Amino acid sequence: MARITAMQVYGLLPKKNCKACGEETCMSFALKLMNREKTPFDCPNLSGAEREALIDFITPPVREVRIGSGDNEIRIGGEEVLYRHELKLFNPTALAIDISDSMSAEEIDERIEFVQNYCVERVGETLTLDALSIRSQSGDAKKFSSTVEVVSEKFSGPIVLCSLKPEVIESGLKILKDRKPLIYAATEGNWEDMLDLAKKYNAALAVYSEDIESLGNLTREISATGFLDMILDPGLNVIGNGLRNSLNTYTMIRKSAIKEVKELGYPLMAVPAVIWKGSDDKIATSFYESFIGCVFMDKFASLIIMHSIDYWAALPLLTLRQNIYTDPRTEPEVDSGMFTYGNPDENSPVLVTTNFSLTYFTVSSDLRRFNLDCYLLVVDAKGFAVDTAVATNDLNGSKIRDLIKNSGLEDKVKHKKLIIPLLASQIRGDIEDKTGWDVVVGPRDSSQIPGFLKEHWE
Amino acid sequence: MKNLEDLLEGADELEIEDFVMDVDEIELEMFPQLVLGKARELKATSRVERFSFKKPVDEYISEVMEVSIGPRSSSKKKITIGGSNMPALCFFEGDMPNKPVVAHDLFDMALSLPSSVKQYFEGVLDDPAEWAKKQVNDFNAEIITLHLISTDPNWRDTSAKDAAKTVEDVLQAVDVPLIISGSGNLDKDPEILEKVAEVCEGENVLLSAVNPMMDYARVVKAAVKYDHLVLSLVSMDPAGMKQMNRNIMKEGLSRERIIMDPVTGALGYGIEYSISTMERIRWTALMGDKDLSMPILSGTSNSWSAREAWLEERNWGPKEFRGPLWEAVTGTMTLLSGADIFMMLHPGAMKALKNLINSLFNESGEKAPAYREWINMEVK
Ligand code: B12
Ligand code: SF4
Repeated sequence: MARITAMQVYGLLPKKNCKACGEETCMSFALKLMNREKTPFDCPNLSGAEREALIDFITPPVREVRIGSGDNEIRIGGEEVLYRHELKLFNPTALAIDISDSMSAEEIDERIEFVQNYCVERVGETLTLDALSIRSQSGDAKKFSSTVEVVSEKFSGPIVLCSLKPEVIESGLKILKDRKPLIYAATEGNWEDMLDLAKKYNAALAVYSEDIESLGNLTREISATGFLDMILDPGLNVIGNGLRNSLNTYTMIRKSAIKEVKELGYPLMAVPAVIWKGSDDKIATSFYESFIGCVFMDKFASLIIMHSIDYWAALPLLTLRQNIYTDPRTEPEVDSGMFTYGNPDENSPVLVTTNFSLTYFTVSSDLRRFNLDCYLLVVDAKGFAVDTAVATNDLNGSKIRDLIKNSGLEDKVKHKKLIIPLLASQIRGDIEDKTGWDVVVGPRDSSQIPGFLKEHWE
Repeated sequence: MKNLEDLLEGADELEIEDFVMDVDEIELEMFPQLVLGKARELKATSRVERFSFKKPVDEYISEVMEVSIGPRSSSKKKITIGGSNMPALCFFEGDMPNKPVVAHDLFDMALSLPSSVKQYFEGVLDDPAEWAKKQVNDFNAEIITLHLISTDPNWRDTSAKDAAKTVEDVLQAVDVPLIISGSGNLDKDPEILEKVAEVCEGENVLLSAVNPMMDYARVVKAAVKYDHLVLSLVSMDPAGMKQMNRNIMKEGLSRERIIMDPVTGALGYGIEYSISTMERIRWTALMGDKDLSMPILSGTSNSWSAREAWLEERNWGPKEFRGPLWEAVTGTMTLLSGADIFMMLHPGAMKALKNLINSLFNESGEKAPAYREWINMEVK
């Protein structure tokens, strides 16, 4: 169950309903607080102590850590729950691509460009990669700093600096002043030096140990000095029975965090890139890396470092991230109405779909992608996909009739033909009865619309 | 403990050997990192009390039902799934006596399969019995799903008798347990599945699927009469699933002869709904709700409804890789959410998921690369 409720938050507010926070009531302010759309500082009627108590109460059990700076800053962690249905997950997993200081200049450029150019349009959102991770394969500070230099000039996003040697890390930090990089990693052997560096250069600090007790011990030591910007790496064993241990470890850490074990209340990271060690089959390794990346994205990793730069291998990660970080409390929907694509005229086809975001954006991007000239009727089907809406009767003849009337479609076209998705073929008769229009059952998938129109329209 | 702290008080440099001599073994066990560490660390650890970790184990009052498919008494093989007493894959909280299982899909007619799947089955696509043999012999199927899609009135509208013949051929051809699925046509499936139940008497097959929108009682009664299992299908709705299960039991089928299909949405096309539905169902079962304590089936091949799996799109990279990866990830997400059995299509995706399951159950001898060296690894 959710850790805190709106009622409990409300209990800590002044209950004046004075609207100074921009909300109608204290209760709606409480909801906004829980959704992180407002902060305790937005209510002027709290005393210092009350505010402290409120902050303390609403601070998520998994600490939120920021890396990168300016527009490129990302936040990770900050989670409240173990399962998304208990509330929602707030900060999407950051995806970083691996660069080594021993790679050729061309390969490094290729990797920078991969992160900069990768972009998928899905459901009205643009999905991108977030960060670059630079590791000191050579162990040489000079080599490392010159790689960091090259990367930092071309890439303005967050950077992870990886070496267990403080002097190597410092050579990179000097170049990344004010960019809030992430240092990887503090260990039992080097943590004091790494902590000094993190403080001196204002960086976040990854803490690595494959033993949970040592990990908790390290964060206890470090937090005792007042430093809290930590990320935990409990190590990832990707094959054999190590995988079971890793899954256990990640789950135990997140679960402990939710149970307010504060030593473990930091975001987790995972490095599926380790799979590439000793691998000789590029495709199989990219495949497995992506697969494992998805497993640990679901099992609580807030930062993932990948080596593969195959477009197809990154795609599942970005898609999964979009899926599991959506808000389970609402159906994602768009406005209904009549939309035009290209330059339609009185003979152009009229297509019908629903207002579920995924459906609308999929259809819409297809119509645009193929430069079609047409009208699209987006029916208010309570945000359901085509076949769900058919099953619930939220897509039906009367709704389509009303939409035709209200949108003025009849003045735009001189024919009376509607094209509906194949999955709505069941309600063809109903639509014809209610609207008086002819209904043509279109293809199953909206990407097949161009081919279909070529064959069946004029 | 006191002892040790006293020892360290004021000690700037301390050789580990010197120190070991002064503490007894118990204390050393409590401070394992001391043995590895340098003197400087000793000083630091003495400031803060050492963190001790307690596994976050919860109490659960119930468990998932154990269910077997395949003849109860014969030399033929059978599989058993379910029985877990912990949230999905939380091995630190309990155990899972039976490994999750992958069921290999095959169809009674050559339908429009994705080309990247078809290539594996050229030559047997028109012969379900041969197709079944290939699944068992070449792809190590432990259980197969025969989809009788040709019975759909909107396709070939083949008869219940034709379907029975196909089922008998497949039963003859292989000795693994079967899931037998109708076409999904709500009007025709009851008739088809009833006939299937009859010809499969004694085989203890899983009849797929019954849902609230069809004459499910007819199928359930046949399952009772001929001793089979049924798959209870309700789309992403735990309350509806509970009701369906109760209705099935009202018709006389016992609890341990039901498997649930809460519907698997493809990655990118509803997987998050499946994840949350399965997690909720599993949680409810552990909290004692017997009506939701059956094992969960994941219709993983639904992943092929995602265009990322099959669309020819050069920018996205070869669909030959995308498709199986999409299916493998879709299946894995349901595994992580509580599914016990997976209906799957692509041999590559099945292999990936099976490997994962084997690793999780400690059956893979492979050694993981040493993680701590990833920083200086060389990638060829
Ligand atoms: C996710 C999902 C849900 C989600 C809701 C998602 C949503 N907002 O709609 C939830 C969990 C809430 C849900 C609930 C239900 N669902 Co549901 N659900 C699905 C699922 C898994 C995926 C749907 C989806 O997201 N599709 C993706 C979108 C993009 O697809 P689409 O809208 O069809 O659009 C495509 C095409 O239709 C076409 N297209 C679209 N517009 C146009 C226009 C033209 C002109 C053309 C040519 C083409 C075209 O191109 C698009 C891209 O491919 C499907 C199964 C499946 N795998 O398809 C079941 C499914 C749709 N659900 C089903 C059912 C029965 C239900 C429930 C009624 C179950 C119940 N008993 O409660 C409930 C009803 C909701 C309620 N009252 O609460 C059934 C429908 C059966 C039927 N055909 O009658 C399905 C098929 C599952 C099944 N096999 O049982 N569901
Ligand atoms: S400003 Fe504070 S007291 Fe006033 S309505 Fe908002 S939360 Fe309530």
